[in-house]
Amino acid sequence: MDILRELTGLLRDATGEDERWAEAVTPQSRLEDDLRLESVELAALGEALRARYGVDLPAYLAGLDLDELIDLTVGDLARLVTP
Amino acid sequence: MSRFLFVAPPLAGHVYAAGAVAGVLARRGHEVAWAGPESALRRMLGDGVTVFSTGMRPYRGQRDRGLRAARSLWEGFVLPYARFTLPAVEKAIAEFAPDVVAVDQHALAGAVAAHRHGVRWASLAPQSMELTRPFRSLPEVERWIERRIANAGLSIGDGADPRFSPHLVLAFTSPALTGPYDFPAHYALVGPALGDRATAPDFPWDALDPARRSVLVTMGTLAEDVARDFFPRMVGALRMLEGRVQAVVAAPPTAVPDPPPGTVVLPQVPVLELMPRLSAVVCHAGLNTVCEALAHGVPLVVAPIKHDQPVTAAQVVAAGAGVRVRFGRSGAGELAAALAAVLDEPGYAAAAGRVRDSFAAAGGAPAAASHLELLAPRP
Repeated sequence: MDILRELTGLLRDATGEDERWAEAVTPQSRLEDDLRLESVELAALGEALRARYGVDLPAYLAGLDLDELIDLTVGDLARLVTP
Repeated sequence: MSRFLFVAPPLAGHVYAAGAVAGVLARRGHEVAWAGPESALRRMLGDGVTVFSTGMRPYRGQRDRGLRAARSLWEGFVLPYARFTLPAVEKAIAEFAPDVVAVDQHALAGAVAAHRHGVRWASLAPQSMELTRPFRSLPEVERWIERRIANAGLSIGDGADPRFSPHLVLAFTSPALTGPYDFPAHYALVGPALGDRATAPDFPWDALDPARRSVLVTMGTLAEDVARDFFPRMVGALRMLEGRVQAVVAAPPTAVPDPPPGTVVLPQVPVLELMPRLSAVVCHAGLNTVCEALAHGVPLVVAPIKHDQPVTAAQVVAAGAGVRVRFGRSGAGELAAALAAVLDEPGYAAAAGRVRDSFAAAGGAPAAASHLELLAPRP
């Protein structure tokens, strides 16, 4: 799915990771436990999502509870940016 | 003269700050006692203190990061620790009959027990988390913590939050670091409380090379395991700068493979004694280490791991006193560039100097002791 490829690209930009890392990213990858996104990287990803899709990641996160935030996946982001 | 009971969790950054304040009160002639795990408190405070032992609980989830670490901090430590220690803390209050109880924000039993016994109590905030509401952008996380405290039966009186005394909240930081924030009138930001440490570890002072800049690398007491993946990258950075930088690394030597010649690697180092000789500190942005560095005007490279560390790291960057890197991902080149920046660009040391001056003006442990004295009922 194209959205996944796009998101993986944005995640690579935010983390500075390489192609091999990107190949392991799936819709089930959790941002925290699997991709080990740090808060500055999440902020960078939020800026990129705003620029590319016009979505407000901080507002989306503000609506989630603690368990949902811990278990947030790339698939959740794909649903957020899919019109 | 008054009696003061300190209630603190067995964590170095918490106990050292409270211990500095307790030391000032004792020297002013007050009676001071502690409620907490006896052997851990004595290891940090020495044998001269009075301890009402509470026993302790192991802290599960130390390896977690991010919001999972926030969840395990509360579910795996703060709440079970509060419930487990509450009977012993109540007994300590009944026996010692303190005029004031000084309660660490992560030792909630002290607040509940003081409230039940009608004793005035103060909150001690030796970390950045329960101070400037860093989770205000995640309101469900704030509500989760409040709900968990209430469900654990740890609310006080009319449902008030045991992290925040209505009488006095003592924070070991200053607005130069927290940034502008509208603190209530009963909050006192006194700056770091840096007392004498009961036991300073030995150090090979002759090994420090005066021709090179000295840099301390320390990733905190809770991070030994998780930092094993960080040190090899840090060693790579130190190799890039080895002609002009000599590092002191606070870690077990086995965790720091092949450091450049002259690097001093020791599990324990006398941080406060080292500070005047340092040009930079690389750390995990624990508030204690950050404040010890800034109190000496030493700029920082911060690699926050969890809990309040990202909050403190952001404060260091906003104050201009350091560079933030990524604990999990920054490579040797990025770490070397960050370290070179704080060493070479005078703005970082200048900003650290401004924070140092604000700390000095805030008064530290003596100011904290005076606030606590004012809470004591007049004879």
